[in-house]
Amino acid sequence: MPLKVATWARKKSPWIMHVPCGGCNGCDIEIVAALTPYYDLERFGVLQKGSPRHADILLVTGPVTTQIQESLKRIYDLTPNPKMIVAIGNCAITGEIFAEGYTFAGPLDRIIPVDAYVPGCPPKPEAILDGIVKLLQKNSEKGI
Amino acid sequence: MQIIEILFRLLVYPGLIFAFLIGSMLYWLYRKVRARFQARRGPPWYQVFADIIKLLSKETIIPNEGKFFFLLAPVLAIIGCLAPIILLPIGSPYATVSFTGDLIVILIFLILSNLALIIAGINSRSPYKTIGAFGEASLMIAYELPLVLSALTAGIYAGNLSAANIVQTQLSKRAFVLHYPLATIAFTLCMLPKMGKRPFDIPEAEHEVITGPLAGYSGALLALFEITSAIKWFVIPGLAVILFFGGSTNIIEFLGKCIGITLILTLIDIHYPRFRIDQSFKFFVKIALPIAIVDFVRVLLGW
Ligand code: SF4
Repeated sequence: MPLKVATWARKKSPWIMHVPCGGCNGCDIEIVAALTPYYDLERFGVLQKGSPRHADILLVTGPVTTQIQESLKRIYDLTPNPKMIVAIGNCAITGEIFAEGYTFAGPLDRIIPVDAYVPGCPPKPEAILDGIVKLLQKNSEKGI
Repeated sequence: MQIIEILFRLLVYPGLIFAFLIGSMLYWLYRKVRARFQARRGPPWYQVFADIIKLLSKETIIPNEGKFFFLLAPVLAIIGCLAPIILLPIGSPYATVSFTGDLIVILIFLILSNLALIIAGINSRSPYKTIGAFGEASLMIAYELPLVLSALTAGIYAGNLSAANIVQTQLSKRAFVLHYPLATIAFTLCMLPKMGKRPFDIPEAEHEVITGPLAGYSGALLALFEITSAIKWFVIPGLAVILFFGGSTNIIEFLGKCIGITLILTLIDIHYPRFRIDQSFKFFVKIALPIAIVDFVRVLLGW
């Protein structure tokens, strides 16, 4: 029973942290748009946090460059369990136009484990919301 | 027998459990009103509970360096805002424990919960935490003096620095807000930095110092800080009710007045952006302190 309460609480209070990893900034703007009053993520309990120690969900955008690779691993380790990683945008999923560049170290799921992918270049705010909500639903069905 | 009663009052009513429940509803009210003013829907009523249960169920990371102070800070914070509750006359003109000068003890305990933030901040090599702690320290220098002066104004008029006596004096005469409006205004202004609310939330600003001293905390320890801030939403408006807004004879009236003060604080919070540290310092020294002194001098002269 206590576990059920925890599952419920995790579903109702996902705190996100936005980790830009070398994209073109398009996806980052869409994440910011998803946090505006028009979409109002706070009604789902989502709060944006600046410290990985507070975060439950990491929203990672961009193809992961060689320079940010180590920091990204560190941020992943700093996030307390249970944590979820969402890859936002085609760059984070495949590398997209950056895949042939000399700074390319990704894609994201070769560096850290990923729980959900939101494709699009950039994905719409609705798509980002949809991705997060589906991930939370899947997790609460599994009882995480 | 008395020990059991005091423990009951400290932990159940009106202590930990009651204060936490009421405080989190007031905290939710603040978030909801803010959302409505920004044309949003805002979080559901159980949001604060969901946040805290989630934090308790998460992994708690404790660094190897400076463990003692890292663990001490959240405990101090919660003791600092819980202990005053047995000295405050909540919902009746009598407190559980009352003696001459307990107002001073209340103010010292409340300082303790702000001191906890400084301890959490300087006990770390993270620049965000350190900057947050220095912000808190310099703000405290600015706002503690007007806060204490305006609280003393109420105490001196009542003839006894005891919270219960202040309430009894107000019940037999008039609420002090009518006698000493300037002291009331100064006290209300000082409540904002005390609770870490805009426009004086420099130590915990999310956008500049990523929640400052709290940045390194996770899981259960962060939950303790969240519980502290929920209890603060009950204790500090409650202190204002007791000192200036006439106290109360029953708990419903007390909560009603607390909700009123919460709404005033929320409106100030919504309307102003965050001040810089020097601007807030100047504000307290140039505006809040003089108006607190005016009423302090008035009460000393007996006007
Ligand atoms: S997916 Fe498209 S919009 Fe997003 S960072 Fe990559 S190139 Fe930019």
